[in-house]
Amino acid sequence: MIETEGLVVTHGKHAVLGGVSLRVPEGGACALLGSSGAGKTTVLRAVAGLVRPVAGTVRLNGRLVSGNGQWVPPESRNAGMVFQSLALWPHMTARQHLVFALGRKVKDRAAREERIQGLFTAVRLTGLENRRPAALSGGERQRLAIARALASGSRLLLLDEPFSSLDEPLRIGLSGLVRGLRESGGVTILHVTHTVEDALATGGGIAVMRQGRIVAEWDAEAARVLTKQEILSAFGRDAR
Amino acid sequence: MPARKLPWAAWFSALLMLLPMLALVAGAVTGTEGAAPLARLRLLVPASRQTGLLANTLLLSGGAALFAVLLGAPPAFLAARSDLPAKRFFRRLFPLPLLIPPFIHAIVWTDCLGGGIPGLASLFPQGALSVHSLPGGMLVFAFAYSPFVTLIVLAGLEGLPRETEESALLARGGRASFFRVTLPLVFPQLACSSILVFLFTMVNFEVADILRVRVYPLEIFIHFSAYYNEGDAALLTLPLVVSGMLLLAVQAALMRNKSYAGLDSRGDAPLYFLGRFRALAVFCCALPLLLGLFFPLAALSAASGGPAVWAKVLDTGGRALWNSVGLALAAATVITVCALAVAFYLERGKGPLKTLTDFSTQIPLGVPGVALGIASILVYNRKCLDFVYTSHAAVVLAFLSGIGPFIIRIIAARIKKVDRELEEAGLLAGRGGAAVFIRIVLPLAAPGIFSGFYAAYALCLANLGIALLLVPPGSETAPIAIYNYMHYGAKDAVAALSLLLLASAAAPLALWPLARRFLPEAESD
Repeated sequence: MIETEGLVVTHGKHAVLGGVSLRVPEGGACALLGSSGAGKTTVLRAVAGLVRPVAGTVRLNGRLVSGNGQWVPPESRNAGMVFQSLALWPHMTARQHLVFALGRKVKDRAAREERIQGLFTAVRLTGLENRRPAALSGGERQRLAIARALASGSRLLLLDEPFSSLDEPLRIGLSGLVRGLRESGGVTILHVTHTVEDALATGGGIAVMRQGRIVAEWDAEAARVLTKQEILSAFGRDAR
Repeated sequence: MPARKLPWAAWFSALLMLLPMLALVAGAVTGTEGAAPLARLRLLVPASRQTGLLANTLLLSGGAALFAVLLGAPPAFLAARSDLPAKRFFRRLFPLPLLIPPFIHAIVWTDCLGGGIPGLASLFPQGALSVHSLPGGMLVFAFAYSPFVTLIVLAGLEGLPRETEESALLARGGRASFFRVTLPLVFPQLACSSILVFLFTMVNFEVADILRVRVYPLEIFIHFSAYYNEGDAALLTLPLVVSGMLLLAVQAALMRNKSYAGLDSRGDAPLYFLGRFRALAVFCCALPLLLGLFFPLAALSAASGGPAVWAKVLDTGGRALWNSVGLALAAATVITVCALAVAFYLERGKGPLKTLTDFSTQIPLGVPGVALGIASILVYNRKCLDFVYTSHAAVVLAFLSGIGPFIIRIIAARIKKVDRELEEAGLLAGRGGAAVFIRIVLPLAAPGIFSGFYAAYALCLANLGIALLLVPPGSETAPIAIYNYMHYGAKDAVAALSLLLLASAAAPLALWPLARRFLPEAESD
């Protein structure tokens, strides 16, 4: 479960987030939608611990990780993130990415190998374990980034517009993969996107952000019957 | 590197680099003979001799910077933006003249124009080409330092988004695009590289000494070596330090958020076509290489004599060469470790102390080598630090002060290119700061770290100003041996040992293709 309450992030004197409150239930999903500069990525980075809010709280699976004098560093939050740039390590093979992310969390060698192979199977990268990012296709890199985010055993997946540069068939395939992870693996997903199609494909709640605030919000139940036009109207002036 | 320990490692390294600077200021204020500080300030009231020396220094530095830009900038533009033939070949050769230290250039040109090459001086009207003059000094420095201009401008051009120039080219044609878009955009690198040449010339003592050009650092050396007054020598250094700081402030303002790196590109499609000017363009690119690399090598080879000379040099100077190589390797290791700590802090740290560390670690760039040597004597020549002063450790620490600031910038430029998200992804994978630093930052910054190590090695190997004052008796280095041979008039030995020194500096380059196999590939996603 991901919960933020009154999250405020400033950049110098300028408030990037002006009190964002958001709740993604355990095993659920939420698409955070908005135009460029709306503050979507900042929410994600605050949840991950990559920026420090000046006010408000962040709770992950009920544990307070930021706010009220508490600060848990990113490496101890047990949250996986897929960056917009993917941030794959160019000097490591696909397998080394997962080994590094796994660290010493699984000490037993056989269990460790099983976990790695399981992830490769889940993201359909079997056979490409020894390739470096430069030798993978666009879709394969996306899948490797997702596998790495899940390698540490995290049940929280933060997606920062990872499909924005993909063509339509790849986008549909990866959206399906992410949806499958949530439905069969119980992974909680916070998905930042600027396209309504991606938001709907996430299959959970939808929140629309404008100028550092959430201006419209629908839970998964309500989002299922939403039309594209209804979501776009929440963008207000930004959509025009 | 755990985030909490990082600033401490950087601050400790920065303090080690700045210790001689602090001693210099303390020595300047208190003096060494108990004179009242205010009374000693009369030394800084410009006497006509000192004013003349300072004017000479500024003229020499300004002229060297101007000639270096004229010689070094055109090859950068041609290699980055034109259809220059053999572009990759030229790009590989551009940095090589930096392997030849300026004092060897000075020796070569003094020898050649003084009759070493029969007839060369007679090609010019009587007195028109004397190397023992300010213009002669300017040219020698320009031959030695023009590659700095070429490399920095080339990096600037490669960092420019080509679309900005292409759109200007479509709208207004080549000439307007070059003068109205390309040149203004690359101006910071052009100005910054000329400032660097100005600074390096301003603080150089040995070239002026060899060319017998009267410059300000000589005055500092005289107060130390002839009057045995370290305090006055320290005080006289202050005008150069202040000038250096002002120039560095200008440089920092020009280069804000810009990188000195950018040599990953291997020749994009040309933007300008040379047509009938191709031969002239090739000449422009070959000229700095001819003057700064091939001519000195040829002149040294011609002057080095036969096998008997080489045998004599290996016998008497061989030990000095080994001393130099050992000292350079040890110093390069210390410098690289300290520079890495500071560079990582400068690129990833926060707060006002970061800005202070950034600026203060550049100050030694504006201090003459001899002044650094004197400052190091002020720091380490005390009973409790006798073990440092009487060993090579003092030389290594003085090299750290003098050369460290330059290496910090080389490594920082590479760390700047490591995408922060790669580190953030490592942290979010649940690994601590130390694992992320060792497994992600270090491998990706490795090319910069290796380059920094190599540059530190080459610069320490060829250093004369600091070594002259600090190397313990009986363990002279190759540059000191060359300097001594020169004073004895043993030209063949000077040439032979200089060639051996250059070969030692170039030797690690032979390992580069091997090292590349282990370095990470350029990011292509």
